[in-house]
Amino acid sequence: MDKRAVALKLVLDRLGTTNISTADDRMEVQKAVYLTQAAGVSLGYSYGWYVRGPYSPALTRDYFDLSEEAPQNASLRDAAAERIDRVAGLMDEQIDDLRRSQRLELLASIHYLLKESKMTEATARRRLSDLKPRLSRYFSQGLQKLRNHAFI
Amino acid sequence: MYDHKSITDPVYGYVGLSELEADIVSTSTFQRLHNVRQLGLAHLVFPSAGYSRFSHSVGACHTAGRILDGIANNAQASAVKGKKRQLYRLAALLHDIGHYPFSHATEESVLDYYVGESVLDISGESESSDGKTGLHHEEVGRLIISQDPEIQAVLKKHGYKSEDLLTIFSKTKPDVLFGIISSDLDCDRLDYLRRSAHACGVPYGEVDVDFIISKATVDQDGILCFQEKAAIAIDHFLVSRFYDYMQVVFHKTVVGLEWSLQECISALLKRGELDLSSSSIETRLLDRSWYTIDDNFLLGEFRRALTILESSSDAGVICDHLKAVLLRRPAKLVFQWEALLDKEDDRAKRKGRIIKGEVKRIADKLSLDEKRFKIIERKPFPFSTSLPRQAEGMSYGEQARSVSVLEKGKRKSTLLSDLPSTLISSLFEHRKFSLRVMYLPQSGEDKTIRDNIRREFAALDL
Repeated sequence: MDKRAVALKLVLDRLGTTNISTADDRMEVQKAVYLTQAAGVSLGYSYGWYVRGPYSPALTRDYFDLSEEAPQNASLRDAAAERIDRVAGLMDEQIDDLRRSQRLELLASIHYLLKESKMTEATARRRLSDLKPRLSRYFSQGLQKLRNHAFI
Repeated sequence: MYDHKSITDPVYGYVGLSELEADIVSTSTFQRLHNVRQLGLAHLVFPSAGYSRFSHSVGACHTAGRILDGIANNAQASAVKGKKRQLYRLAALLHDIGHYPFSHATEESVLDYYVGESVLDISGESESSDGKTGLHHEEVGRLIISQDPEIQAVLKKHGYKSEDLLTIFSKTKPDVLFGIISSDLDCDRLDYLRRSAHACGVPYGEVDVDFIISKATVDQDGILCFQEKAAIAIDHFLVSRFYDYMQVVFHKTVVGLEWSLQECISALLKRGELDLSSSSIETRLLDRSWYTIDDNFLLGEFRRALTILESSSDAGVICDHLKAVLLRRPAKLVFQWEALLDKEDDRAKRKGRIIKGEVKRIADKLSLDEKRFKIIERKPFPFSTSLPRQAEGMSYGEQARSVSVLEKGKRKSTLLSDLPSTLISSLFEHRKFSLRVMYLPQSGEDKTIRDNIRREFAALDL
């Protein structure tokens, strides 16, 4: 297991996103890693907007190959662990009755549209409404959560 | 517009470029790609396979233009014209601009080193990387497009903004027809198979790429797909890609050389003799020295390191890795197990665990350094991942990257793997599992040692 795979494994373990059996599970992994990188923990994954949200093809390849346990002598550096805990705090925030996968999809999409697509708040809100009508009414709440946890 | 300059190409005959494209090609950053081999060290096994990222990038630009022609013919409403068309072609031309020397092998070492150092604490061996981070080659490309002074000047001269190019290059805007630049059947893969087969002298490039491209279209969700009549040609293409991978990229000697290459790069990074962090790349872009960081640069660093190490007490396994790359003294295959199995079959995993223990036992028994052994486990397939076969089991990102066809009379595309008439559909639940053990001989070592290793593996009841 190379160091990058160990790092990914430890990050996913700490965030509690280790299951990849369903499409929803894998979407959680995609968005959790996106937010982890946004929090400043560089895992080297490049994200683009694929139809309805940020997605990394390289990450898809890697998490399907994550079969082993991380070596026992490996742990996360304190600085990285603190940042990952900030992501975990954001992931635990409830937004009405949204499931965790939906919350992560909402949070990662808002962050991506504002930070990577460099849209204004109004444009991002409009685009989210076009692209994800079922999530768009939670835009303000999602944005507030991102602000509360210093992601924006 | 796209015939300002023409380049002779072994795959297409002639490739036309616009004035803007020709100016980009003339920058030192793009010229650097002449000295970045597409296939790493594969030319040490397939002697004419030393073609560069330069010719592949020009071919990808040409292919992107033809995909756009296909879309214009088959889905007029989605036709991409004028400045936007130029931006797609430019994104294709520059899609590999951020590749490190020797391409993927170096990228893996770079990411492994910097991610490991900045994120992990491994008892006894980990030192802080002082906040340095490593970048995926797409991120390096992004840096180049947004910061390289020469590329900035060319874009400005022709009235283009790097931000507009980046929306397509990095797929940062939701409206981008990203499948042309990044999917399982994009301009990159469509050019690669024919070019690689042509250069390596293998027959797997004899697929009907022209027909596939002519059937390019766009579905109601804005996803690049292909008319259903291209399904058989695409099926053939994907299966050919699998064989190309098995014969060229996964050739035992190529894999052994790649292992040595990665060990050499990792050693230089650890010793602080090589810096490929994001901050170093940014500095090199600004002082215009990035163009010197190519295959030749790394080979020079390897030669220098070998000279120093050979005359010191620090010599050892790394010297033999350096010689493997510089003098073509590759690691040898001492054990191999391969099988086409159901993708959930766990035999490969079980065998892998046994082999790990056996490598240690055999190294001890024969008094060999365990670092001279490398276990390589892969499960190649025409698609790059183990995604569920059917669309309903996939996330939208996974679906969007996959190959889709548009059935007659429908507006929403279907995954090729959902069509029961295709070979890909029936292969989807299977994987070619491969487990290999490579051994790097000590310089001047007698062949009987690896014969003994092979005998030990052959005696195992696996």
